[in-house]
Amino acid sequence: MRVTNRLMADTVLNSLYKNTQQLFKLQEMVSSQKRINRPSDDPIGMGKILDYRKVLSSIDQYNTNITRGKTQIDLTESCLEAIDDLVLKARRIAVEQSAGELENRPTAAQEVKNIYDQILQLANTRLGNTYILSGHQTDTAPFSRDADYNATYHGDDGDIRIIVGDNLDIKINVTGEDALRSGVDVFDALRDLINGLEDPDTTAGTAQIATQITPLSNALDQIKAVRAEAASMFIQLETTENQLANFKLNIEDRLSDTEDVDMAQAIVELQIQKTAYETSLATAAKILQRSLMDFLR
Amino acid sequence: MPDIYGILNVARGALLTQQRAIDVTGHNIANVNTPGYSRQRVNMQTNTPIPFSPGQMGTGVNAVEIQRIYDRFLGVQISNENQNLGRWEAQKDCIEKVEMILDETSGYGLSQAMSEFWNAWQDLANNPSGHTERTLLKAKSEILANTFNKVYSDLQQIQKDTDVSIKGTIQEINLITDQIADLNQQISQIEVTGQNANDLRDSRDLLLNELSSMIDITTSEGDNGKVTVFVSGGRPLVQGNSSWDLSTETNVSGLQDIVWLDGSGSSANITNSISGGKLKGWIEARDASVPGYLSRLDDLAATIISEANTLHQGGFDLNSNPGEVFFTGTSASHIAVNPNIVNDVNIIAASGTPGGIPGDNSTAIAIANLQYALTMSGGTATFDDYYNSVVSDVGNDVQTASTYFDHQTSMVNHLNNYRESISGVSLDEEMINLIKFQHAYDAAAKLITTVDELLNTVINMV
Repeated sequence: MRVTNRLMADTVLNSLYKNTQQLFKLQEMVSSQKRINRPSDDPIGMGKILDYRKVLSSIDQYNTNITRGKTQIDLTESCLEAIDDLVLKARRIAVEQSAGELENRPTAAQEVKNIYDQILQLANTRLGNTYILSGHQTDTAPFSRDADYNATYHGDDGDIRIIVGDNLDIKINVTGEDALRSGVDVFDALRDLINGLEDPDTTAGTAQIATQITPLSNALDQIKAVRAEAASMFIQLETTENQLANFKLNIEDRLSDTEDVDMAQAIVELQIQKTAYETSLATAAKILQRSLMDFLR
Repeated sequence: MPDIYGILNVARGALLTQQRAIDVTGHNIANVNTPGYSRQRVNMQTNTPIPFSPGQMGTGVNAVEIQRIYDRFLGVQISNENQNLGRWEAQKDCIEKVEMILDETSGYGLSQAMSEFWNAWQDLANNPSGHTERTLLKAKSEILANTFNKVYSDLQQIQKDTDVSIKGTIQEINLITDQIADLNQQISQIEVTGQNANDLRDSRDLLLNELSSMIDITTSEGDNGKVTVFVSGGRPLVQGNSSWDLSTETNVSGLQDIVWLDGSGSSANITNSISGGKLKGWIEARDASVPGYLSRLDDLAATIISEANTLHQGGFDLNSNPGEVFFTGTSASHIAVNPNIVNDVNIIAASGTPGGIPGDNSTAIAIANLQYALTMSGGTATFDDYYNSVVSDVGNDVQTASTYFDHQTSMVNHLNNYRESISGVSLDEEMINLIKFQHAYDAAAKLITTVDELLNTVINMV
């Protein structure tokens, strides 16, 4: 094949182009630390990367949701625990007074009234702007009482749910109704206890006091049952949180595998390509400079 | 004539011929870097011999013609491959722009906007009556709508940019065809007199090559040396000494169609019959690839709008009114957040039960769960699956166009190298020729000196 000057120059130029193109690609990979810098570098890999990123973003959101749930359940638990102690105290008073003691009735009555109000206040606890025991009526205090210690429940039985997974949402609240009114009505029991303590007719009063002991004991069980329900919700949230943590590590690994460049390998290839480039430059210089005219006279 | 003056004639013929040869060599050397140049050489022939004694006497050399060294078949091949090269180059450039617009590698594209939108609904579900959460949701929704709008309009801009390129190329084509027609006339005029119009033919071939990279052409050369150029659908661009023009006109989608003007006022739309060259690449990208992506974006936006609106309208807001539409518009270009919601975030319907129940977040949860629902592709893909497949497809299209482009580039390079080896000027060769012809010239001059001395001897004999 007849080789002309132009042919040699063009060929050298083309191979330099190829070398610099490769060099550029490798350099981009090394400086961005990513193997895939545009969808066309690896279309399927790009699809996977988008998937993984979406999953990671979802997991972060689930964790936020779970924290919200745990906070509410924590607060619920501490309220119910305090209420539990107060009901226990009331029951003890009932037991003492039903044994026939008459001197401290007024003091006892006042104590029970305080207990009543404290329980009311605890039941009306808020988390931020929302009442936690009102069901869906989160802007209304669940309980209020009148002068005769009749309590009214203003909430409803709605579930507050949070999302913790794909199409997976769980309940994170208990209602004041469930804890304090259905089954045994704690407020009514306390009201009757107060009335019994304040009854001028001490015999009838003692009898009334005595009849409140069992309801108050049952109330303790009821509250404990609700606390157990809350506890199991909490455990479910924690388990999910742990699972999500493991899952997240897994996905981050896979994302890194797909997207990140193996630095050692890339740098080695960069060196090799650089050497190839320098070699073609040197060869070009040697070949292109010589012609017959250098040797003629 | 077979005497001393005859020898003088032979010497004179030799001098002139070698001088011609050096002339042509000089022309070759000067044009070593001219694109499209084919080397020329002088064809030398012996003159008619004269019968004499002792035998046939040769009468020297004559320069018969200046020949251009080229391979005609190669020209056709290069033209064909150029068409494909132009096409894939144009198509690759267009689709690479699409890839840039989708911008998913940096993580700030539509994928991220959708993710944050769904997450904002979950935040709202965590605190349905919270003003902060509602404001955040409104902001993320606006970002989503804006991103859709922007991507859509950027893609449409690519179509408009392509039109600008098409218009520019049409003007170039018209210039070139005019020049080819001109050259046709000049070449045939010269070759009628029996001489080769070498340089003009080189120029014409160069123009034909350029033309072939822009649009698909078929060429044929007539006996009179004139080249006829046909474009897609058998319409002539150049025939004899005349050329026809191409032009553009706006079509129903607001983009440019390519028309062939027949010179007497009527035109024919040839957009769909173009099958090669850059014009084909641009038309393919503008009328097939980009509209495909646009319609998929529209589908995605329309489904998000309708699904979100359906659920939202089934829910209730903080004033216990049923929810209005959440998004207005029906396509990616016009999707927007309902302006009433923008003005008052309290009318975002998070609740599922009527009555203004602030703690009920069932509608918010339902809308947040849309991200997992199989809403696209006839119920087989989620929003993210659908969008990811669009991104993958764009990546694939770029890869395909790049592969074809690389393949064509090396084909054209190979053919060009082959042409260069046949028709190209080698300076080494020309140097040697120069030495050859110069020595011959020196020898012929010496012949004249010898004859001169002979004559002197004869004259001084007497």
